[in-house]
Amino acid sequence: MSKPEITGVEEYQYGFHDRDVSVFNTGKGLRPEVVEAISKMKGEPDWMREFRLRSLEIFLEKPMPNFGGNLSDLNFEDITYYRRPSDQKGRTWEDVPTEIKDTFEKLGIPEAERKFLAGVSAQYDSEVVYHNIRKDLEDMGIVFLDTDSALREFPELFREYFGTIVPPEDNKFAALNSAVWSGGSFIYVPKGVEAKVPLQAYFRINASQMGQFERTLIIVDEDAMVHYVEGCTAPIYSESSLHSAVVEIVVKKNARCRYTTIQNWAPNVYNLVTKRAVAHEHATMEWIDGNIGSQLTMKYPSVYMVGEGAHAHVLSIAVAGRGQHQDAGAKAVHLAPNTTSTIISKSISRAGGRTTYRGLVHFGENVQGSKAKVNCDTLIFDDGSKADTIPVNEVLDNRVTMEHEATVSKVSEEQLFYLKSRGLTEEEATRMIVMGFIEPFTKELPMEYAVEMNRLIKLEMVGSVG
Amino acid sequence: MEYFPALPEQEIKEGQGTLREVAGERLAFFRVAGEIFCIDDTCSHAMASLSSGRVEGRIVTCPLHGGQFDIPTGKPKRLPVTAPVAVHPVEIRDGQVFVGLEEEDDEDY
Repeated sequence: MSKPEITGVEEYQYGFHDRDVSVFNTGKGLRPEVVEAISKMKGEPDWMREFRLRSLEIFLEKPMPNFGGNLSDLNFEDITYYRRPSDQKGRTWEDVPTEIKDTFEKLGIPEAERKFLAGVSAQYDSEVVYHNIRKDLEDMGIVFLDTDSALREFPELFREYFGTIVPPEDNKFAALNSAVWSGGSFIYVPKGVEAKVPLQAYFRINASQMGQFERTLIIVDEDAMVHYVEGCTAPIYSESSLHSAVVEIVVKKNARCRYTTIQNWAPNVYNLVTKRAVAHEHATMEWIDGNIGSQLTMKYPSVYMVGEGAHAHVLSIAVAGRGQHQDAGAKAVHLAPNTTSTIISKSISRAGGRTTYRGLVHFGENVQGSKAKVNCDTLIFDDGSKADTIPVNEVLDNRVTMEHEATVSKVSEEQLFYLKSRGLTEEEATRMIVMGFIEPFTKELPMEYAVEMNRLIKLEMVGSVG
Repeated sequence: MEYFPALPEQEIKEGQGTLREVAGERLAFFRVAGEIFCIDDTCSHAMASLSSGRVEGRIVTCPLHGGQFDIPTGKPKRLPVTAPVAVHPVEIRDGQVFVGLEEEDDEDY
């Protein structure tokens, strides 16, 4: 199946019916005045304005990354870095490309969600459900807001952690995000509190779309637990070609955090993300990372295990079709004794797509008793599709255990033959093999996502045989 | 330990690092609240030069990835740096800064 062709995106950008007279948009390009304007529009404190301006300087000084995908077509001057949400509300359902609407239909996405995902609605319109979940969270003392509001309502907590896990100098795109960030989620879970239901991105108050430069900050206090789910499996219609988010997570002693993402950006998008977590003593951090969409994704969810007995688990899948490059992976950094990490990466490349696993396992000094296990499996469907595995293992303490396994395979002729002999068509058989291949990932998803994910993969596989 | 002359004291300014190569070692000198400190110039993370990093109080930020060190102790203070940098004792003699360096231990292989 060919990916939905997002033609005429630029036409939609200008063809929107504008219902709000006072729109604000910084225009294309990035200059200090743009950053000043963003900060002023948001009514931010001085320290944040200065932070943004300094980040802009860092962004302008830093060279482009010398690894990963092809960024040569990325033109920073051709991007509008901030639009006030009222611009976006002007979009009507009729303006959304047919292919997107069709995919929603095929995936069985409910009506209210479709409008939200298409950017027609600024908020998930399921008021009753939304309201009840919010009340439950508040009763437990959990803070769950968009990042802009959190800066206003919880300034000390915000400032204590913001930019400490991913400083603006970390890489060029972290600097960019630090300069122009807008939207994203802020979560604080108090000591001992376990959030029983997954917190989902579109349940926030004032959910401001899947922003270009989301900034998410999650703090899980001691003995607490939270599962956050970002995004969903449906294709995310975006008129912007660059999405560069930063996610910072602190998991304190004995706490647990799971962060699930299913990224399915439209195929014109560069998705360049820095995600990093710090796990303290006996804490557990889990990244469940699905990469299906976008033209190029560069994303390496990381866990820095700084406390004894901390645990990191990264489960990543990447599916690349025609014209796509998923450059994904994980980093497990062991900095304390008896820490453990597992990285499981499953990649599928077909129809000329390209997947790259790029990972790091680092054992510092004085980390005795620590263990790491990496499993990278790739499935290459056809000639012309590519898969690369670039693992880096750094071991500075020889009292640890490091295991690394990698497999590369085509869809097995033998398995296909067996399944066909049982009455399945080749397409059905291939689909079954693929579903089995990614099963370790889908079984970790909340039920409704697993159902959508399965449907999405099946859609992807249509026409992939022959 | 042997002390080597490094640079005139007055060349070290508050709020910025000064790089000198002494006895083959690249060292960064800082003045924090009037006192002179010396640490290895090479960041323990990815080998960048700390003397060109931003200084705020007693913290130096590595320009390459934003990690931070506490200058007087060499301890890592912010990700992505996780390992310390060596701190070397200094003495001021007649306006000249002398830095104490351990002799390299020759290891028998």
